[in-house]
Amino acid sequence: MIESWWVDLLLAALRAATPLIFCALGILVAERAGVLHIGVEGVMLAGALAAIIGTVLGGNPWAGMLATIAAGIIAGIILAFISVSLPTNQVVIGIAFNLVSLGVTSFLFRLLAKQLQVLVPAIPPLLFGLSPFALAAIVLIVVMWWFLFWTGPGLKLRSVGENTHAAHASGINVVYVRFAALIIASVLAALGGAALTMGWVRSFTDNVTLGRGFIALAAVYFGRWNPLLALSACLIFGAGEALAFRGQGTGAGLNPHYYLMLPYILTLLVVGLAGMARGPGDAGKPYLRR
Amino acid sequence: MLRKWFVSIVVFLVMTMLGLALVGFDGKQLEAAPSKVRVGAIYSIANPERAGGWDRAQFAGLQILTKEYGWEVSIAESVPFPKLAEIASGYADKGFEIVVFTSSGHYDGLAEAAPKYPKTNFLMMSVASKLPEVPNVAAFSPDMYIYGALVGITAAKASKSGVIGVVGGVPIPALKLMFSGIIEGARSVRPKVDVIVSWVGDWVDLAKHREVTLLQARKGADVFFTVTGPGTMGVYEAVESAKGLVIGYAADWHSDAPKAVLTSVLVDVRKMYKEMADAFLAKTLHRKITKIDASYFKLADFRGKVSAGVEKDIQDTINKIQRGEITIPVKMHPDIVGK
Repeated sequence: MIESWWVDLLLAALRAATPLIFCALGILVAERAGVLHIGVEGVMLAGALAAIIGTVLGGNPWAGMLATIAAGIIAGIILAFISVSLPTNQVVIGIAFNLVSLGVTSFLFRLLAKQLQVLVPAIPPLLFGLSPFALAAIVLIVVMWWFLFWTGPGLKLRSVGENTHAAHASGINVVYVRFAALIIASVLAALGGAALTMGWVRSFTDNVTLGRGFIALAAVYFGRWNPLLALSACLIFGAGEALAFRGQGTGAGLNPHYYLMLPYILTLLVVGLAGMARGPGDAGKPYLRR
Repeated sequence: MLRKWFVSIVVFLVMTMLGLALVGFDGKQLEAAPSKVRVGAIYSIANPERAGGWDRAQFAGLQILTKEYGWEVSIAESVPFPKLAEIASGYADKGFEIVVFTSSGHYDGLAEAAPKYPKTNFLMMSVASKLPEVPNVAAFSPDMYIYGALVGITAAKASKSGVIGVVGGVPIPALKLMFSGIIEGARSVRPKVDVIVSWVGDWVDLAKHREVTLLQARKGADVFFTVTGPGTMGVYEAVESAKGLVIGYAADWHSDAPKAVLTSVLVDVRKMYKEMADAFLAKTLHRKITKIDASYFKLADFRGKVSAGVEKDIQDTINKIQRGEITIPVKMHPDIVGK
């Protein structure tokens, strides 16, 4: 019984962590290239809606995946154009993008509400009852870690994030790297949205992401821009959420809000205990060729 | 150069959107139309047509005013509680004859706006235990306890495991009342039934709603009920995944999750809104709380989810309650929200 309780808790934590992992990976790629990805919440939301629209209108999950990737690419191009090519303040544009995305997705959802207010078909689990999204997230974490720390292109990406001018002097096209990084980051964040709507709750509602993009941001900072540590942070946040609901069923008779506040206190403690994390040297700084 | 192009495109887009907004703004709606009664309805949630059960039912009621009475209905969505009085005053300023508040939590907004506009009728179309001391207010207040009892009876008779899962958004008084009714209704027909009540802590997070429901299913619940906001679909997803059955709240939820919806305990909003409209036309819409009792509640089609015998048994019991042949004792369960 105890064993099944723990297994159940772990699976619930992984379910809750899966969308966060995709987003955290997206943030990692962008910030390792020196671009703050504050707009991750908005991209996630766009991906979440695109997944449901694609699945419902296309009639199968593959159409949903294609729509998600397309939404991620479009969002990435918009963000990259404004924050890298122009360039503009990355924090401000990220916040603005989140607000625009909330408005646009709610508007589109309203237009298609009659078709979209359904449960899309469930994607069959692959292993241990885990969705393909969860397994893909774990594989991607390892791949990202290997890419960032063991490959040449990964080194180039990191060097752009650490010192743009030094990277430029060594022959790296900084604008190109940042542009590409932001598109990849946005596709990953959009997949995080799809993991939430298509792979977990099978439907969409206004603002369905509810700040999960920002939690992923906290996970990356806690994980000191390292994919493996970010994974552990996502799992801690997921476990906190899973524990909150299980706490209600302990029979202790405490007010449910007592348990529901636990994940937030846990987040505060974890981030507080993590101490000052030093990010990539040039993260957030617009690149202007000297 | 790039920046100039970008600024030009942004200016063009903003102007186009403003133009579209102005074209879409139908000035006629705000002109006085003496033959048409104008109703302003206020929701604090988005997309009420497809949101939680009560909002959905209210939306259907408002449609009756448009379709059957030819009235003009304007809906304000996502209105935060501190802005309720301001939005209601806006409707009254523009000459709307009726302002409808759709949630019991809107009471303060109603109480603030109503005394300032004596020519406008301010209506609470939700649970109300009191009204401000002004003549231009009224309420149509559903008896949440008896509604809950009907849900409890239906769930207890349909459940094979004898465990019922009940998921609430936030423990507001109306839900505590209703969920107590569910427990007593279920126990009245199946004394050893186990009713698990869980609270999600918000009305909207689909994922949290799903996980809470799944947890109840793991504890053996096979029939579920939820009252929440847009998070409802999270509950339905979990019920479908766990191969359980869910009873829809207030409106018919069958089309949202055909495999999972057992039935819905409907609120006869048509009757409710017609009574309101007729009272308004007859100028008898006075300061009064009209109780929406068991006669306003009915079951939607079961669509073969239980055997004909069980369905008949449920329907017969509910008919007896509506005729007053069976009474459910009122007993509150404060323990459902803990200490």
